[in-house]
Amino acid sequence: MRSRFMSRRRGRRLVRTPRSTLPIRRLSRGRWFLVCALVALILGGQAIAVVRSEEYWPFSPYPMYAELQLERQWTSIRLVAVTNDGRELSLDAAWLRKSMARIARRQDAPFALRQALASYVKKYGWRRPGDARGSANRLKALRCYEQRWTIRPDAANAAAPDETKLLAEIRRGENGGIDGL
Amino acid sequence: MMRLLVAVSRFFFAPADATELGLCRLLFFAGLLASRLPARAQDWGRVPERFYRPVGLFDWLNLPVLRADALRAMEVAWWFALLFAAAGFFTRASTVAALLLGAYLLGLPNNFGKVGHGDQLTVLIMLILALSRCGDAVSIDALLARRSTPASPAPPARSPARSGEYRWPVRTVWVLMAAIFCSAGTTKLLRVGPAWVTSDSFAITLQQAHYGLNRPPTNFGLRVAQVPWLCHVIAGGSLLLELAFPLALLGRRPRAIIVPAALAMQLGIGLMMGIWFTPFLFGHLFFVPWKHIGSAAGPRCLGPGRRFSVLRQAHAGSH
Repeated sequence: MRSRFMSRRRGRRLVRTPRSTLPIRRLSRGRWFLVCALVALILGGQAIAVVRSEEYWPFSPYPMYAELQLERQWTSIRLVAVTNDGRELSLDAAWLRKSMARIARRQDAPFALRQALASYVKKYGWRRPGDARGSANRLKALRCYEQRWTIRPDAANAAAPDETKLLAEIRRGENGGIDGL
Repeated sequence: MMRLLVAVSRFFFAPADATELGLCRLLFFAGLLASRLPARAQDWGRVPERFYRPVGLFDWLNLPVLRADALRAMEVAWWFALLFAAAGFFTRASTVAALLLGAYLLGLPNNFGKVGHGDQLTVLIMLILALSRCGDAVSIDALLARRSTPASPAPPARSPARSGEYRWPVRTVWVLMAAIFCSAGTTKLLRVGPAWVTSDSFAITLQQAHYGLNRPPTNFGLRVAQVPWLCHVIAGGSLLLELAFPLALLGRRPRAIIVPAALAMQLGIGLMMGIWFTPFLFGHLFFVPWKHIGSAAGPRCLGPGRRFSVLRQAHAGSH
C-alpha cells in the first residue's frame, strides 16, 4: 500500500517506496479531538507557566540558572544536629536548605526558625537521622547556621566558609522537651 | 493555512507501525522502574507539616501528605504498575495506575520548598502513554490477543494495522520535549536577557556549583570558568540550543543535530555542575529510531535472516 506519507526523497527525484504491507486504520474523530486537547494542554500549560513565571506543577517555566549571578559570594543555610558529646551532624537536604532559607528571609525569622526547628524535634524526637524510633535521645541541640563564602576560581575554600553565623538554636530540656519553648 | 494544517496533521497522524511505540513504552517504564528503586517515598510522610507548601496539582486538588506506611504501600503498588506497563500486561489499566500513583509520588517531593525540574516530564509522558494504544505491540496483551483469536483460514496478522494511533504519542513526547527546552531558554531571556551570555554570570554559576550541596564529579567547570570567551560561547550555545529545540520537529536532519546536542549539554551540566537531568533520558528515548537501529544492528548481531527475531517473538511484527 502506498500513500503520500510513504514518499521518500532520494537526491532530486521523488521515489515512492512502500514501507509496509500492513493495512491502515484511521483514527476516530473522538480520538483525534482527544489528542488535540492533550497537545493543547501541554503547550498551553507550558506557555502559561513561562509567561506568568510561576510553577504550576507539572508545568514549569524551568527557571534553572535563569538569574544573573554577578557577586562572587555564596550563602547557604545549614541545619545541624548537636550530639550528646558535642559533635555537629549536618542534616542536609536541598529542600530543607531551601525551606530554612525562605524562613530566614521572613521578618520574624528568629522566632520562625526556632518554631521550624521545634517542629523537627516534635516529629523526629532528639534522635539522629536513621536512629530507630524509641531509641535513646542522642541529640542535645539543633542549630541553624548561615554560612558565607567568597567564591575563588579554584574553589579551594569550599570546605571552610569565611563566615558562619548562628541564626537559631533549640536545646533539649531536662524532661526531653525543648528549653524555652 | 491549509497546507500548515495538513503538515501538522501528517506530523501527528501519519500511519505508523505499532512496534516503535511498543518499544518506547517498554523502555520508558522499565527505565523508570529501575530508576525508582529502592524505596524513597515514605520519608516524605515523616517530614513536619510546617514544611508542606503545596504547588500546582497538589494545591488545586488539595492533596494531603499521606502517612509513611501509606506512601510505602503506594510505592510498592506503583512498582507493580510500572512492571505491568513495561511488559504490556493489562496495559491500559497499568499505564493509568502508573500515571495516577506516579503523579502523586513523583510530585510529592516538590511540595516542600524546592521544586525539581525533571519529574514533570516523566509524569506528562505517563499521561501521553496512558491515553495511547501503546500496548498493541511488544506486549503480553498483544501475545494473548493473538492466541485467543479464533482459528480462521487466513493466517493471523503479525502486527496491528498501521495507524496514526501509533505515531501521535511519540510525536507528542517530541512536542513536550521541545516545549520544555524552549521554556527554559525563554525564561532565561525574560528574566535575565542577553546578559546571561555576555556577563560573567555563567562562569560564576560554574564556580558556585562547587560550594553547593551536590559537588560536581569533575573540576572541568572550574577550568572552563577561567576562560571567559569559552564561557560566553557555551552560554550562548546552550541558550540558542534551548530556544531552537522546536526546530527538531521540522525534520530528520535538524533532529539529528539538535537532540544529541541537547543530550550532550545535559551531560555537560552533570559533569561541570553535579546536576543530572536523568528523567530527561526518558524523553530522549522517544527520539531514537529503534526500528532502524534494530534493522541496522540485526544482521550483525543476530545473523542474516534473523533481524528482530527477539522482537518478533514478542510480537513486534517487523516486516
